[in-house]
Amino acid sequence: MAKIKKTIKVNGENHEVFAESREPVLWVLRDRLGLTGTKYGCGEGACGTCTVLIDGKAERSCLVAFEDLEARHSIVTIEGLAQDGELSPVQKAFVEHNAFACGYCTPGMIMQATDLLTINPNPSRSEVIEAMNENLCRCATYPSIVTAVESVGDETGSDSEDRS
Amino acid sequence: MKRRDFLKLMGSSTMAFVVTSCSDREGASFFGTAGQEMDFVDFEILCESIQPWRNFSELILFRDTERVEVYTGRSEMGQGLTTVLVSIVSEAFEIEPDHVDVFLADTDLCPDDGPTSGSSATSYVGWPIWCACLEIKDDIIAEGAKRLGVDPSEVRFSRGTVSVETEPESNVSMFQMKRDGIRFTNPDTTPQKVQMYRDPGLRNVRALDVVTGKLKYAGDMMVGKTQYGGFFTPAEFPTAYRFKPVDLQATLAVPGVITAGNMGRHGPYVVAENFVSLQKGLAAIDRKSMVPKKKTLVNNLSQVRESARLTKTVEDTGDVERHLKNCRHTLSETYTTHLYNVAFLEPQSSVAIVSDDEAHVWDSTQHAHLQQQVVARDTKIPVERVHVTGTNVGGGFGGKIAHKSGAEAAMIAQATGLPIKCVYSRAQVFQRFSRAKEEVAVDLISGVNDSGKIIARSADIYQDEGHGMTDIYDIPNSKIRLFRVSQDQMGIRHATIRGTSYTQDVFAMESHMSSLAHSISMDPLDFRLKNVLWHKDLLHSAAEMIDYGVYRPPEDHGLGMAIINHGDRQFGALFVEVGVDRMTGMITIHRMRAAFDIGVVICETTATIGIIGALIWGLSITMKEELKVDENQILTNSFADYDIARFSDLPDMKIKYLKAYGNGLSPRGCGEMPLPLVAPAVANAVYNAVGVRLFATPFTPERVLAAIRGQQA
Ligand code: FES
Ligand code: FES
Repeated sequence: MAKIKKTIKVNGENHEVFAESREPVLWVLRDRLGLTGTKYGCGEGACGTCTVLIDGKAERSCLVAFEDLEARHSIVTIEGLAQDGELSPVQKAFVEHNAFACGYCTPGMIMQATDLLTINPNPSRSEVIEAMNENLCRCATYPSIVTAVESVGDETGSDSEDRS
Repeated sequence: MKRRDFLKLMGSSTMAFVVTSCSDREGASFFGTAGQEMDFVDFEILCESIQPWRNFSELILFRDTERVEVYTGRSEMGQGLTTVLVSIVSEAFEIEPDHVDVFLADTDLCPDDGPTSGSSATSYVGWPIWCACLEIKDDIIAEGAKRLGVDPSEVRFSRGTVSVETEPESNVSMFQMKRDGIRFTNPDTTPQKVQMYRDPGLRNVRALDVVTGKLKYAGDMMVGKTQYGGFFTPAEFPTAYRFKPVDLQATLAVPGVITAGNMGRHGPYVVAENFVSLQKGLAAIDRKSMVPKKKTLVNNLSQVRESARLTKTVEDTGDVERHLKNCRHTLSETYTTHLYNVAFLEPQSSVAIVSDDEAHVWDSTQHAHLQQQVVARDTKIPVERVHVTGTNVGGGFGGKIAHKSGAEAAMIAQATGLPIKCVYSRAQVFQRFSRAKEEVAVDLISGVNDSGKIIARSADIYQDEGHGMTDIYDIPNSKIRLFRVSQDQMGIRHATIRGTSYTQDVFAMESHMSSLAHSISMDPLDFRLKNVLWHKDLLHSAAEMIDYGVYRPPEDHGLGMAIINHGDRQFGALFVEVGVDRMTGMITIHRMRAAFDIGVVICETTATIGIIGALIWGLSITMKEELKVDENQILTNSFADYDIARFSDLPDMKIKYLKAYGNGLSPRGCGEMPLPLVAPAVANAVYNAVGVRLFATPFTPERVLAAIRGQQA
């Protein structure tokens, strides 16, 4: 595994990074850029704690190799969601609905929900569940996460399924 | 630093309050004979040695900056301890929550309050701190009245300030008195006065840090140029082999590996620049480093039954044998439970620096003071020179009490002189030290009279404690015996995992209760109401929530129930509605309705998150999770093989808090009590739906299908 140097854009800033070519972006963010909000849970795409946005789309950063990132790609991590000190709507909803316990899965959950709400600003409960289903929370705070994500969408679109 | 040194350091400039004196544990060893080495942090020794809940002490300090600080050795792991303590202190002194600072799990700063486990932090730490605050407040009022030149009965305390009742402008704040050098202390007193805690409405005080990614866990720590370090972890049970030194050339050739070595009985270790290189370096280690031990291990329940010895009789009242013989209705059943892993999302993680015979460790731990002992034992550094700082824990659930990542980081740091970060891979979470909740068998025989009163019960429990079996039903003749195989004979070693023992024993007892009811054609709710000691209100309440007796479930749907008494502190009743697919054996839990008495709720949001989480945990281990093993190794090594509950598994859940028992003044905890209710409630609902009894967990479709086919055969 050879080391390569390249410039990557993270949270709106360009960073020159020297890392192993096959190093997962998760560890580039954590160890080389100090962005430790993105967490390691499994390293194989099965838990979602490492989720970041790459060009606006939720990706498992443990599965993306450093060499596959290009300068045109824009990465957003949990540290980059708030703008000018103002929390994003999803972050606000997670605070409002206490949608966490230990908080370890929360950054990944928030990034996944941000992706969902970009594609579908008005998801139904079942759409939230479907879109978030590959993100695991061992504290099992799922019900409040669903409520939080739903609350960000426009209320009128919720389906009638009662899963409170 | 010892606690008494800490007090000395704080000196007269602080207002320190000690609730009860902490027993002096200097010189005490958690590990038996001094110098004895063990591969494991041994639970049995641990359990004997720690007496946490009698020895705790707390400190509350007032700062010149008009802030109040609270210290406890317990950890924050998502159960909301920080929020609970802030709620308590801010309510007691009527100050803003953001004027309270909480210091947790630091061996230099905090007293050893025992492990953060068993849903006990709020009741055994939070409640004494509440009482302590009230005592301090009394002191403040007395001192304030003296300064204002009036009798204490003529002043009022509001927002940290003492003022004359009739002349509010004549006042003095507690922080002003502190600045004037007045010391409020009530050392070693047990609070006599109790006042109702009122406001459970505080939001989780860590929320902003959580949602912005600022909350730091041990794996996020960077101390100098920290390198990744870890030990070779084969899938085999460590009781079955020992290590011998091997050539590590292949490992050293892996790009990014900095060094590697053999560390005696701990085996080969690797240090690398990054996590991925570390894993590759560990994978390159030759399995010839493992020398099999000639030892026959006990690996399944039938072997347990052959080798187990009677270790304890938990209950022995009346004459069980005679009454069972004479009873008109008796029922004999055996229930068994399966292996599962703690599977927290944050793997065990620690960072260590060791220099000049001194170790600093940042650890994701539920018990920093125990880890201090473990690090001292494994590095041979005197315990007073080992400093452990507990970080936020990304899920503990019992699995981060007797873990070893802190000691492993420290040993590698000591050997290499480098700051070391030890973060377990997901495979190591499943396989290192082969810890899991072991399989349990419970043999139950009960006798009931014609009117549905239980006359006698005998319970023989293999590899478990009998928790949740006593003080729940009024049974005049009862015997509960525990049979065990010792840990060093076992392939899988015991792990405490959220709700362990209760989970297994309550499954057996509550399933058996419904079976008994059916055996005499009695409704299981009426049968319980006839025999319970405490749960009438909770049963009625949860039954009403699910419309029991009124609601008629559709075909292949059924209702089931279970109750629990968790340590005579927490009480719960759960009703569920399930649907069973007779073709596939799939169970769907449609509704959960539960009523709990957990005493005073200090912070409703964190309590409710904990309770709902525990119910879903219960669903997860009942329906989905199972650790796979063969005769010498754990086969499960990833989330791909080990499915835990996810969004799509959510039932419709509603809970209610009741104040049914006790004085209703104190909080009693809640984080694990709801969990054991799920397996029996679901099993009972399945019986109600399709008429088959599930005697073993987990309730996989194959097992349910086999039970249905067995019934049809
Ligand atoms: S760490 Fe990437 S999905 Fe689990
Ligand atoms: S909040 Fe702990 S894992 Fe989700």
